[in-house]
Amino acid sequence: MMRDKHRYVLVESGIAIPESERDDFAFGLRNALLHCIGESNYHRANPKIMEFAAQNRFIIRSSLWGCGQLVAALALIKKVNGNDAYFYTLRSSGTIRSVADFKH
Amino acid sequence: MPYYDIVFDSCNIDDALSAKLGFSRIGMIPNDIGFADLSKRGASGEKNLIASGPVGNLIGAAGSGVSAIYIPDYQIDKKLIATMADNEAILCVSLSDVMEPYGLKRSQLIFRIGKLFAYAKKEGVDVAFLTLAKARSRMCSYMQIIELAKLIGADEDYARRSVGEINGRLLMQ
Repeated sequence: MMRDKHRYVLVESGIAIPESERDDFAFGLRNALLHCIGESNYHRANPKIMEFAAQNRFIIRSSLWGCGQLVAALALIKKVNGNDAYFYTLRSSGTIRSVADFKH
Repeated sequence: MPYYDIVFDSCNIDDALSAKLGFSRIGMIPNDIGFADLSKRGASGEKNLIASGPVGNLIGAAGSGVSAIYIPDYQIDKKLIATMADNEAILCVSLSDVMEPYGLKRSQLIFRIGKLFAYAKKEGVDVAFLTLAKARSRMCSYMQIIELAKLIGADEDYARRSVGEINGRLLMQ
């Protein structure tokens, strides 16, 4: 069986994401990504928030193929759940530990 | 490879933000490079600037040797591109223009920029992918600029060369 290859992307949000709103935020971000990437490509990119690294940082996993599309889509998203938002992708790597160790 | 970007000074950036976004340096308009809107006046004598405005004035500016040209509506003008190629002027693509609209308008703009990019590249004009952001919310990391350049039609090598060497050339002049 072929193993799925993933990329992990460390993302910084322009707005703080309180712990109580993380589920809503993840749902809203998924919808925004679906709109930007498109239904036909979303399943191939298969993005998923793995963990929140800080108040305004989180790590997204995507397939190796869809990583570029995910990074471009994150630059184009302006609203999440109706609130203004913007995202910087700081680092991408093949292992979650490597992106989590990013110090800046 | 060192990467560079140019934004307006209203972004209030510092070295920490530049490093976080993966840039060696983010240049600011007007401190590091000038920006001239030629819609009301013709070409000025200044060389180290990004000129913007109607095509007629931009042809004059490209002929007078400005470093870069920004075409606000991204329409292809063969005479302008030929003048830019002769004078080695760089074509600026502002990615904050791509981020600003939504839905169909954004798709149409990406299509138009893609056509302009392909033509300029074919004619031998260097294309610089910059954010030219006026606010922090319109800034991008170097990874995002490269992926947006690929969305417009550049290949990986050209996108990296643009964000590295070509943007650097604009800042070092």
